[in-house]
Amino acid sequence: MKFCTVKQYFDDENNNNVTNGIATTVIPLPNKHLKIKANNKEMEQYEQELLRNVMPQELTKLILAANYLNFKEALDFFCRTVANAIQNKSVDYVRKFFGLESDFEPGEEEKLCKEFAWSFEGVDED
Amino acid sequence: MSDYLPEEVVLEILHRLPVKSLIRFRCVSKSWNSLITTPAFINSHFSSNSSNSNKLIVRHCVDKPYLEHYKLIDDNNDSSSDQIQHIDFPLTSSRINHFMLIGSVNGLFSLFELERYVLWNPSIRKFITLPNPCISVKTHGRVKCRSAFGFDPRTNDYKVVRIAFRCGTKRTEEAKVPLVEVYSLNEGSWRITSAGDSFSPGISFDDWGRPSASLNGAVHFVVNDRDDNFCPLVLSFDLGDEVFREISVPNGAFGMRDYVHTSVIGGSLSLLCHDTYRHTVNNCCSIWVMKDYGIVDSWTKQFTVNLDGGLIRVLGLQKNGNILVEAELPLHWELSSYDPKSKQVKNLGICGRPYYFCVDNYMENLVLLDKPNDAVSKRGASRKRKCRDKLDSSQHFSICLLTSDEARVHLLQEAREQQQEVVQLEETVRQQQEAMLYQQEAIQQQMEKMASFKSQLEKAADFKSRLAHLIQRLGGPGWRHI
Repeated sequence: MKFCTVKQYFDDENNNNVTNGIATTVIPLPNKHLKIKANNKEMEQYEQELLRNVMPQELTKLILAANYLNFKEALDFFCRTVANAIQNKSVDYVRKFFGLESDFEPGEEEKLCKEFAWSFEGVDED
Repeated sequence: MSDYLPEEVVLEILHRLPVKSLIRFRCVSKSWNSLITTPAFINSHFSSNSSNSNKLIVRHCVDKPYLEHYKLIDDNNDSSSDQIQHIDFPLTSSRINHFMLIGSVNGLFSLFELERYVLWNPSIRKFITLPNPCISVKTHGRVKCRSAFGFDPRTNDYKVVRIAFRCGTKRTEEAKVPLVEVYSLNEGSWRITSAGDSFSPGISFDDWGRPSASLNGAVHFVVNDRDDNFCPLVLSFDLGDEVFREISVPNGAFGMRDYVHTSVIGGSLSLLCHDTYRHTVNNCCSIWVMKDYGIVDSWTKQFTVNLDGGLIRVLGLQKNGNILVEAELPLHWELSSYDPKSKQVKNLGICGRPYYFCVDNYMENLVLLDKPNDAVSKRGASRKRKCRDKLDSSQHFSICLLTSDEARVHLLQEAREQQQEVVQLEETVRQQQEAMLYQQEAIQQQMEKMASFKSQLEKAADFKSRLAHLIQRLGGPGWRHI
C-alpha cells in the first residue's frame, strides 16, 4: 500500500504541504509504475516527459510531496533527477537552487575551495 | 524560492552525487560541509555507490624521477588514450626508489617506504601519513616485516597489519614467531597484538613485496609450512579477532619457486600462480578462484593464460572477459589487454616499471575526508599520537632533533645526497667486480693454455727420447748417440 499518508492527507483539512498541482503529478505515478513495471526504458521515457514540463526548482516541491506521502519510488526518482541536474554545477547554482545562503566566516570558504581546487575543474558555466 | 528541505531529503540527494561534486559542495554552506564529512555519511555513501564501479584504476611507476601515477580505464571496453583519466600521486619517495604497495581495498591504497606508511585515496586525491609503528629498529632491533592492508566490514574500519620477525645471527625458535601490530584508521593509532600466538613457527612467506588480498574482514598471504614438507598454503589474518588461520590450496596448484600471490577477483579469493619467475619455456599463469570462501573443494581453476610472447605477468580481469597483463616491449614495459578468444594483445599505452603495476576496481570513496590534512599537520604533531606502548627515551631524543622544519629539510637533503652517493659507489663497485671477474676468466684461460702447451711439450720430449732409444737400438755402428 503505497499511500499510507494519502488517507491522512484527505482527512486533514489544514494541509500546506502538498498543493493540488503537485498532487496531480505525484499521485498517478504508482499506477503508471505498475503498468510499465517491467519495461525500464518506457519508464525512463515517461520520466523524461514528466520532467520536461517541470522546472528544476519545482522538483524540490515534488520531493517534499513524495517525502510527505512516504512514496519511496517517487522520492528516489526525484532525488536522482535533482542529483543529475546539479552534479556538474557550481556552488552558486546549487545555493540558488535550494535557496541557501553561505554562512561561512570570511576566508573560511576560500580555504575550503583551495584545499580541493581540483574538484572545481570542468564545472558547467552558470 | 526558499522552501525548506528537511535534512533527510538533502541527504537523499547527497547520496546520489559523485565524489567530485560532494567535495565541491562542501563550500555550499556550513551544514552541507558537516553533513558531507560525518563518518556516518562517508560510510553510507560508499555502501550505496560501491556497486557502481565500472572503471579500473591502474598504478604504474616511472623511473627518474621516481614517481607513481594512477590512471582510470574503462572496465568494459578498451579506452582510447583520450578517455583515460590521470591522477597524480602527490608524494615522491624520500629514497631512490618507489613506494611499496601494501594493498588496496575499497578504492583506498596503502603504501610504504622505510618505516613510513601512507594511506592514499585517489578518488578524493587525499593522503595521510600514519604515526610511527610501535615496532621499530630502536625498540626491537632489526626486524623483517610483512605488511598488509585490509578492511573490516564489521566495524567499518581500515587496518594496516605489520608482521615483524626479529633478525638475529641465530635462528632461534623465538625468532620464528613474529610480533604483530595493527593500525586502526578509526582509532588513529598502532597497537601490538597477541596474534603471534596463533602463528605456526614453521610458516614462511612466499609473497614478499606483493600486496595481500583483503576479503571478508581478513587479509590473505601465500605461505609455505616448513614443518609440513614445505606444503603451500594461504594464511589469513582476521582483522576482527586478530587470529591467524590457514586455508589449504589445491594440490599441484603451485610450487615454492613459482611467483604466486593472492587477489580478489569477482568478489572471491583468488590465486594468481605464475609458472616461473624467469622467462623460460612454458611460461603461463593459472588463475584459481575460491568460489565459496573457506570451502577448500570450491577452488576452481578459472583460467590459464599463456604468457609467451613477452607477457610478464597477469594483473587482473576486465568485465568484458579480457585479461590485463604486463607486457615486455623492445624499449619498455606496458600494460596490455589480452583477449583469450582471439589471442590478440592490445597495448593500452600505459608504461612503467615491471612488477610495479597494479590494477584494481576503481571505487569512489570519501574515506579520509574527515581526517586532518597531512600537509598542515607537521611530523611533530603526528608523532603526538603515541602508540599504546611507551616511547623510550631514544625516540624522544630524535623527536626533539626534528621539530625544526629547516633542520628536517636539511637532513632530508643530506640523506638524499648520501643515498645517491651510495648508489654511485655501489655501481662502481659492481663494475670493478665485473672487471675482476673478467680478468680472472682471462687468467684462467691463459693457465689452461699453458697447461695444455706444457703437456704438449712433455709429450714432445717424451716422444723425442723414445725416438732416440729406438734409433739407438735399431742402429749399430754408424749411428751416433743422439
